[in-house]
Amino acid sequence: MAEKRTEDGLGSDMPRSGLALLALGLPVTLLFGLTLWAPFASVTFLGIRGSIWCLFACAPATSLCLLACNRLFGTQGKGRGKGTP
Amino acid sequence: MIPAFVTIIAASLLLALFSKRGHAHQGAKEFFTASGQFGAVLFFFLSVGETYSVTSMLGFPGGVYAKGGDFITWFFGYILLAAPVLYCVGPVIWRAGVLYGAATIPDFFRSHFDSRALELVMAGSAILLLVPVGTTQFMGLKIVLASLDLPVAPVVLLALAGGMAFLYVVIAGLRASAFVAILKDVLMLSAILLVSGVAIAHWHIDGGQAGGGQVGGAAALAASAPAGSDHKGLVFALSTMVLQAAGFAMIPQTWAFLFSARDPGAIRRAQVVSPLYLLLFPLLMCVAYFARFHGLQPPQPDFVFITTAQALLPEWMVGVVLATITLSGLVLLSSVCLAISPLVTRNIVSGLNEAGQRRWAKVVTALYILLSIIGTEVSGKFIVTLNNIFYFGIAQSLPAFFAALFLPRVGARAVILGMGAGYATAFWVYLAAIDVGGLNAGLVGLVLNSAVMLTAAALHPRREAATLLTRLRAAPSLPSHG
Repeated sequence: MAEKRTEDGLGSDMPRSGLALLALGLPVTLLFGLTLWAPFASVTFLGIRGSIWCLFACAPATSLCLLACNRLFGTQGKGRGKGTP
Repeated sequence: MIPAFVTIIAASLLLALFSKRGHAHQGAKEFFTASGQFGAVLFFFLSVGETYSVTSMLGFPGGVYAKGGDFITWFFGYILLAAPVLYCVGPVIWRAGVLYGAATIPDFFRSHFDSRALELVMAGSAILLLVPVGTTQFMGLKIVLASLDLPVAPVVLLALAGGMAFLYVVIAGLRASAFVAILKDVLMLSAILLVSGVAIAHWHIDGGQAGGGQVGGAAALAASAPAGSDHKGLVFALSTMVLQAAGFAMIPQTWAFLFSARDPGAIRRAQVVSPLYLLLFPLLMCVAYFARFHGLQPPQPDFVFITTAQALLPEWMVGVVLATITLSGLVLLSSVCLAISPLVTRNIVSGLNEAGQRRWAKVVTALYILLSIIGTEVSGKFIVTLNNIFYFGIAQSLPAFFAALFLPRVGARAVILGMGAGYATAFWVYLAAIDVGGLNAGLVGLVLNSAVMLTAAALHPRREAATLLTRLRAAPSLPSHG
């Protein structure tokens, strides 16, 4: 099955500027923001500063962000993007 | 301890043999990249097998134990950001691979820039940078195997471990790595959950006695932790995050994994889940802090995870933990061997047929393993330092990739000049310990690399060229890898 081409001639799974802004920009902003801001630095849990625990919260947040990108911009159908000419 | 260890390693070998079922006659591309047949699940296990190796299991808690705050920030940060980077760039690389029939990074650059010289530069530099990766894994394996307390010389145990990695490669190429990676990840998840869970459970019991009260003891530890969030430390953490996350997309084995994906959607789906794997890092951190808080004394910082496991778990479970860490090293070693072999058999030596590529790949694999073992025996450096050298070198091909994407006037000569300047600057800044305000040496090299490349391209622009995106638009609908 031949793949569907988009208006700009690229495959539908190729990154566009909106996708790059959201998929890259949001996690970078979140991670840098939390690193610089270092919230709850004076609070400790198991001897570990609160700011470091906050940093780890970026992992599920990034996952959610990429999931949102997949819903908004990505192809949903398994196998799209392949196919012989 | 030993029976549990041997059982798991033997199971991994059986799994490697199982992976070959239905793929008895492998061509070179099937051997190196599984001919683009992996769906999102196998692709996910293969790519996390690369990310969560001995460096993560031993190096991360070791670094936390020895260095604290800023180390956590950049180590966690770059692996996290690598997921969105691959989410965006992965499909482009996949399509570029199909367009040019590429199985390696130098394949792509040779075809795009139409330059054999650039192919040799890319292949040569990638090979040199991959040598420390093997050494890093063997350094970790040396720590693990020493913990088995066997009456055998360490170098013999390392040779046996190297033999295992070689067997994975010989049995089924990348397919074996992917299947063993599944076992490794299931075990790794269990081992980290187990050690950290038991550590946290003991924290409440012992911490009150040893630390003079849980809250007071923990607060004292936090205050004494070598976090050092000074300005330079912060600049280093942020610049290292950016460099290594972007550099992740230029790792030779990352390209091999991307080419193994069935379609770009499989790459995207795997990257959506990938950050969740990082939730293991707080658990590893707890193990390191537990060791500090409870006065455990590992012989070296990188021993901290094993020392904690030995202090808390029964002996047979320690055997399982040691086998898991060994597998994590072996999976990465086998995939690095599969990345380095085609660099030699396809890019350095050109003109080999499929059978020749596979045959010589085995010779290269054996040589690489041998060289890595020798490197382990002569190098006493800290694991994470080697990791840094790898990344600031590997990231120097980023400007060339962006030029291929967006700048049609940049030719091979400009790329080679830029890379030369980038490598020279990065290594000079690093080795001479030049103060650049805390910036990662690789990022400094990257800036100079880009400046030299753009200047050279402005002076001698490439003619009759098109960007990768233009070529992808002009190409007919693409088949998959294979």
